[in-house]
Amino acid sequence: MPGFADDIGKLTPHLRRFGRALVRGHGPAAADDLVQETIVLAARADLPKRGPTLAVWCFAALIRLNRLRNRAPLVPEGDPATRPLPFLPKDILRLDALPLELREVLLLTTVAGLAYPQVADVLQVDIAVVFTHLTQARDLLTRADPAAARSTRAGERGRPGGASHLRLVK
Amino acid sequence: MSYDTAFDDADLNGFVDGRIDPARAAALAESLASDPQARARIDAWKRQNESLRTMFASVLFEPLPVRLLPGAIPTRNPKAPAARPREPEAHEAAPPPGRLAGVVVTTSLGMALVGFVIGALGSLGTDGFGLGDRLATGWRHAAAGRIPASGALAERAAQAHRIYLGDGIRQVELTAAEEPKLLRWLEHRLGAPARIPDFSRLGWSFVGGRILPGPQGAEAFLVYGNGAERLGLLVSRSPTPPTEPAVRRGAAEPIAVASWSGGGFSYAVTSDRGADWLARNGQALRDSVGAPMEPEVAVP
Repeated sequence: MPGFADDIGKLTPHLRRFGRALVRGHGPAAADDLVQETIVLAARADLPKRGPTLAVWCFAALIRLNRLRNRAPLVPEGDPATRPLPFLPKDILRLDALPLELREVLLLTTVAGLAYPQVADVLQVDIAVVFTHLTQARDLLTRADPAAARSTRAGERGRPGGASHLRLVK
Repeated sequence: MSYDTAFDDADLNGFVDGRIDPARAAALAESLASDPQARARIDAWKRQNESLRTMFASVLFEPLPVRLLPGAIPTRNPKAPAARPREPEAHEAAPPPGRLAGVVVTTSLGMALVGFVIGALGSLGTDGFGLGDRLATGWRHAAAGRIPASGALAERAAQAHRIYLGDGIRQVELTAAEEPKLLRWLEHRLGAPARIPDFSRLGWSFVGGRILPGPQGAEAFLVYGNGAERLGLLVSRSPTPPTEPAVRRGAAEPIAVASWSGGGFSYAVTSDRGADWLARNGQALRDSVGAPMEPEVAVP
């Protein structure tokens, strides 16, 4: 089906980028494995999937495949597909420390650039849950980042009468 | 006018992602101005957004691995008919094989991809992937105006481009930082005094190079880069190809090659920007190469 090939062709770079951000270790081979499985599944499925529906379907499939993989026992060390990259920036390490469900929401929103309703569709949750999880993910990331945490605390201190006000309320 | 209690998670996240209406965003910004703590939190969220996007942005510009190209996808089961008849679309008049080739060209053509990515970024949060719109007609021409691939040198150059420049880890054996070493190696293997052609005037900086096997012995494959894009230059001692720059592109092959010869050497420039780009810039590249591998008169 030519239309499908077009759409999947356009979508593939975006699936790869999202996969790279999502997989354990962020290795290209592990991420591309997920993308390939996703594409094969999408090509086999009978439903006529086009356009944004296809995008939602593919991201959902990729996320399910990744969850399955995360549940599976760790592949013995040395497998190049799962070995983490040797030098991961600190930002990525903090990202990886987030619980998977929070990471999924955050990456779908920021890296994949999906609209909030689409994120809700992909994860099959209510849109209110999307917002709650986004807030949690972002606050956790801030807390894990020493620099950001410092500036947040500086903001607290800088707040005129903030501390005394809190004490009064207490 | 106090909004302090009126902003919920949807507002805060929408503000950071740029997805709430401007009036609401302005009101929120105003309330943040008088609340340093909340502002620090939102600023941190914004920085996270930036760093998450930039960390993985380069993946979009990587050439697709062969196994993910649309040609590698198994076709859908023809026995399972679509649930409802599809609306006829203008572009479906084209024969399927050419169309598939068009997709291959599309996903690998640097320029088309850049254009698409910019479009996708512009519509972040809506459709995001440009799947709603029809195929750009220009991409069809790229597939339709296919030129049969011929010429052993061009073939080898395209092959080298595919194999080495599609490698995300190690594209060259010796990098530009080791240019003197690379130069000594090339001179030794090509058996002639060498010089690395300078394309910096054309916006391409030297990345590095390696030696490849050719029918007449060692050949040099030099790589130039412009951001994520790559240009290959294959230099061979066999003076077989035509003397005029000829631009060719293989069937379903996104890599365009221009080749010529002179001074006892043959050259082939490879680019994944497409044949049109190479046809326009081939002469300038050829002029920049000049006679790089010819013996130079040493100036004391």
